Amino acid sequence: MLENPEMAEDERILATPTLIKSLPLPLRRVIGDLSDKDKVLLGLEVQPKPLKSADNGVAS
Amino acid sequence: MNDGANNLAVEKIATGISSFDIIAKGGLPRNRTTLISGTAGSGKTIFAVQFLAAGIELGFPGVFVTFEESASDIRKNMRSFGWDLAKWEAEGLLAFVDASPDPEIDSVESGGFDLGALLARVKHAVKKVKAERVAVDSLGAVFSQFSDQSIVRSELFRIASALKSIGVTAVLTAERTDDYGHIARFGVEEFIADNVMILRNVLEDESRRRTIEILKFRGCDHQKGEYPFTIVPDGGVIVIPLSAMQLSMKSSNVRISSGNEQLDAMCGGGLFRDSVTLVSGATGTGKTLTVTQFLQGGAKNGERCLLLAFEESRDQLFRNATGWGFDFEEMEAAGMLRVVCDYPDVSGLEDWLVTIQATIREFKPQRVALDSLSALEHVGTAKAFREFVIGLTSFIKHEEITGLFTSTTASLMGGDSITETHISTLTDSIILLRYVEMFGDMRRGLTVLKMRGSWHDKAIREFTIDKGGMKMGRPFRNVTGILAGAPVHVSPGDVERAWSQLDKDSEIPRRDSGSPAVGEDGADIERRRIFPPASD
Repeated sequence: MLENPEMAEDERILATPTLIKSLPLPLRRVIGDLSDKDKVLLGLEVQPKPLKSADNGVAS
Repeated sequence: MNDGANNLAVEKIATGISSFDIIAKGGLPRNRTTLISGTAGSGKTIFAVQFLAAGIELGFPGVFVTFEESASDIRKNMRSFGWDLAKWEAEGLLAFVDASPDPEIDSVESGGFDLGALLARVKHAVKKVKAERVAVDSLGAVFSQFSDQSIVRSELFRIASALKSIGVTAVLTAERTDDYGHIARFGVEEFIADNVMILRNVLEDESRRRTIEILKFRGCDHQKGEYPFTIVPDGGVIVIPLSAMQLSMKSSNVRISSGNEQLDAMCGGGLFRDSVTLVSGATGTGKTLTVTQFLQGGAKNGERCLLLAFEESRDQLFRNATGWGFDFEEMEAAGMLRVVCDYPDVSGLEDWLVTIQATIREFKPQRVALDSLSALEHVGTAKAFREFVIGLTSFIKHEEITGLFTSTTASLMGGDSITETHISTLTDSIILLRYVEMFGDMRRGLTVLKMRGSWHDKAIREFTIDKGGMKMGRPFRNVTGILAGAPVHVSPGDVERAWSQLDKDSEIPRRDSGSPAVGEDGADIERRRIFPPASD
């Protein structure tokens, strides 16, 4: 960021650190040091792998 | 706090915002941050953009950091003020740091963070355009973008200190919920408190009144209290610095004609240039006629005249003038007269003041007449009205213009109006027009109540109106109580006795008695020429 502020400008980033998930859509951002694991997973829309994973995580 | 090697007093930079520099006594403190706090709609963003726009016009590039509106919205909204932000961006005089929330981007917080990226972007933008000025709008919006307020607070403090250290002068806006209450939401003033300004937009008697107040400038001087301001297209914020304007008023001894020779004589030789005269009277006593004469007198002497009419339509005014033998149309065609006719309610008093000032600057009249102040009285609060009159009188005096204002009294007979009590001390001369009831007739009387710095006729004279204007007659010598609104007739014998007593006391030769004076001198002959004996 400090070396390349243009990139922060283009991506409209305010906070550091910021993790950007650009693919698959939708775009998601996770701000912070990722210490809160649940929030990270929620932010990235990633579900913990169910034991028997046939469905794609709709079930909770 | 360490200000480096600078051990001088805090330096200020002229912002370039109309009249703001007057109340700030020079401008904003250089290399410091100033908090601008205000309720929604109080003009914070406009002030912030204007701070940059005025700087760019003076040759100082700027950076605008927005947390609230998107950069494209700001570019669009500020067009109406005549600021072409996109052009300045293309010329490298302005850079945006767009930190407004993007509805497309969904983000969550997971643990500790800082706003290092934002700071890097601001620093980069400042470096890119070599900015001297930075505006941040608004701090409160940063808090709503993040859930951890304590981090935001400490990070904003870090950014504010960084702005100071990179040598820019910055304004930061903040919201407040009340026009009179806590300085700002989220307590931002606690960490960016070098300088605090408050913009207010108060609803009083169904009308909005904007004021600006400099609460503190750490280490330097400023005017105190609330100053009215207005926001106009093609100009943005215009502050009306009342106390500061009065200081520079001049005064001259040049006399000009009121347009009526007899009235001039009663005023001791005419009105003073750069003086303001108030003509007060009930409806139909001849106020508009006095105004018409005043304008005619000016045009005859080759002076440009401006008429601000709030009571009658243009056609009515022109027809009236024709009835009295004056040709407004010809005066207007010759460029000697301009008539501004409008309903007083179309804008607030602050806006009127700014509009009138702009018209005066453009037309450059030597005479300004306003008919009537009473019509404007109801547009705003008593305080706003008084400020309007102060602002207008000091402005026209400063421009060395002669002013004539009228005011309508509420009662037909005598009495005074709220207008007068508010403004009589602000005007240099007061002419009263009154109805006098005499044996079933309504007559008109005129007296010069006050003429600052000059002798004037103390008599209450009867006057008639015919084609050609006002004709003064004899003083009402045997009537007393006219001004109080209760005329009482006194027998001629009592009048003689009273006057001889007064003359003996004051040793001043009595003038204008009904009977011819004993040894007439030149002055008396002149007086008899100007005031021929009444023919009734």
